[in-house]
Amino acid sequence: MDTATILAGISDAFTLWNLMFIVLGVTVGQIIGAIPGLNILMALAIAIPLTYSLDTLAAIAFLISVNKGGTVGGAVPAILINTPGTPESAATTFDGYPMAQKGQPMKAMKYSLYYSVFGDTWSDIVLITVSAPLALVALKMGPIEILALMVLAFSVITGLVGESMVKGLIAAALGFLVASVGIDPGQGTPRFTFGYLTLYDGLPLTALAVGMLAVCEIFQRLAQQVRGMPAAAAAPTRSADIADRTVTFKELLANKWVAFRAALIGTLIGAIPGLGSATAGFLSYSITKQSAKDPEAFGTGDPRGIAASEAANSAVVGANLIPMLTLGIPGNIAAALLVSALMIHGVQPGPLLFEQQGQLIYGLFGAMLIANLANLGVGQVGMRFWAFVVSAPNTVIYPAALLLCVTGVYISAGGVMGLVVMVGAAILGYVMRLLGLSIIAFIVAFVLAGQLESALLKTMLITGGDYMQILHHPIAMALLVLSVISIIVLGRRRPTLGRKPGAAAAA
Amino acid sequence: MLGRRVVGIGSVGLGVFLLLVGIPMNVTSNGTIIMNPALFPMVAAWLMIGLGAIQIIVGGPELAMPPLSEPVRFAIVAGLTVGAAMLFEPLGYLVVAIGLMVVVIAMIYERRPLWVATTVLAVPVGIWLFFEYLIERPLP
Repeated sequence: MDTATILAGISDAFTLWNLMFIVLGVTVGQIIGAIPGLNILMALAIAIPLTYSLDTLAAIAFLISVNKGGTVGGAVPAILINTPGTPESAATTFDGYPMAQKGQPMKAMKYSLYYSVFGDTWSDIVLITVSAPLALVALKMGPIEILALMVLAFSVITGLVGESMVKGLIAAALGFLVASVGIDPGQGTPRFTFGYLTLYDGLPLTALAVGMLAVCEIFQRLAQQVRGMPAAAAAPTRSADIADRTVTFKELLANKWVAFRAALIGTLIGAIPGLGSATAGFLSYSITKQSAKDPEAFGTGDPRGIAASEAANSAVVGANLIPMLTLGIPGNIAAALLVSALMIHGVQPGPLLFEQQGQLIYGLFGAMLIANLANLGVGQVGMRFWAFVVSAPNTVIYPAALLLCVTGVYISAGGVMGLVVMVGAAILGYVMRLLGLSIIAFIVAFVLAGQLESALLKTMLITGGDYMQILHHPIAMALLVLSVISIIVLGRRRPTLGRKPGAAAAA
Repeated sequence: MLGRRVVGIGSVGLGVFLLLVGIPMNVTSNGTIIMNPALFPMVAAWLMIGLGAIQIIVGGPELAMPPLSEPVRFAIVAGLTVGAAMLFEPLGYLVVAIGLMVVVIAMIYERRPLWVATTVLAVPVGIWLFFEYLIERPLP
């Protein structure tokens, strides 16, 4: 790719319009992340319909900024009320809350902000560095290799998420089935349309994602809501001593190796499809604690604990775009939602993106780096205000979120039919959560089904239906062997006993 | 005991239903030699049967079911939302949105006047203004 395209892309990110949406996205993300019970996925699902009228770069920059802001905001309730605003920040409670209890809540929030921005920036740089060369390699693959790669991706994702690989694969099969509604790509005949012309284009992804990720959660919370549910009481953020409110460079640099290792762990975890920010945070915290000379200091308000959790969970955000941008495979739900947002704007993620939409991609990279700075600026000013958001009553938050979802889907996904699909998806999501079936596997399968079917169709045309032809494609064979190995290794994982089905589904 | 195998039984049942009824009745082919449109749904159905059978054999942890009131209330909220969706066009967005918020807030027992007013009036009007004027997407 030529330098002019790269520079043009980066300069696109600096237009006032895009900068405004980046700052808005970061702010919205931080606020939603700070509200216990709402999470980044809900925010992304709700935000997608709002981006329909925006141009592609502004829309994607906004959504990525929401994602980035959410990881920062999630630490606020983790520190102030010992309740992570988002699952990603769960490990931050271990040392963030004790530090707040010691009278240093602002200091703890600033530690989390700075290390979070560091981890995020690190993984963005890795993404920018490795994605173009990886895409070049991916471009050399034909339909047979792509088909084999998708089989590998599914075997890894379903093996890593949820309670067990079998349940993960059942959820994926359900996703394939739901995705087959609409016109078949081979013959152009209708499938499962029940005579409704509106279903010929398939089920609207926006309605499905909003239903499963946001509305399902909102319905469940409203169904559980009981009289007199009090708002959480946040620790006071004011303290007399300035040292308790600020973090010096010296204090930050004291944990530089912890933060660096955490960022590496987060980047690695983020690049593997199926693993998420929460895993990165816990793994990094655990490794940091085990390798410390004084592990007993952890859990008492040690800044290393905050650095380990926040740098790792934020480093996942950039890295999980690596498989999405280079191979077109979303590694988690946030990436799947970004894929859907790109597709809504007529952009198909994958290696061709670098060839055909180079300016957009580098605009996106520029926007990601700007979003990190915006995260720092908005967080620096907003942290004390987000402390009030923590205490907002659920009786306002959930009805408001419901109305926002209903309105957004009505506008963007075909009116009443879109809303019916949204509610249907919410009910399906609820049943899947109760049964411990992974929603990640379902949504990734739904998003990838079109590509998978198209690759299967091309493979059949190339091989003339003779599957032994695959033996002449060594890369495809290697990927299929890897798939079998991953099924054997990950499939032997024991079902997680005692795990709450809802948690498993969201994993 | 049955609770541990319900996922497997349901998966096998759905797969068999699809193969015998769902796919033959709802997937048509024009007879050309390119990939059969039923192939993908059939792969999904066979996966459900095979994986469901494995799940029946291996079982799993006992499912933790919520109290009956939760799915009932869930269904009520879902029904209210669909009802509201049906009424948007005949009655108008703001009227229906305010009505939906009134019912929801009554269901969750919020009685504090400030929060009731915020949810019932400020939220619908704010969202309406956002869509109508800020992002210029007309609502009914």
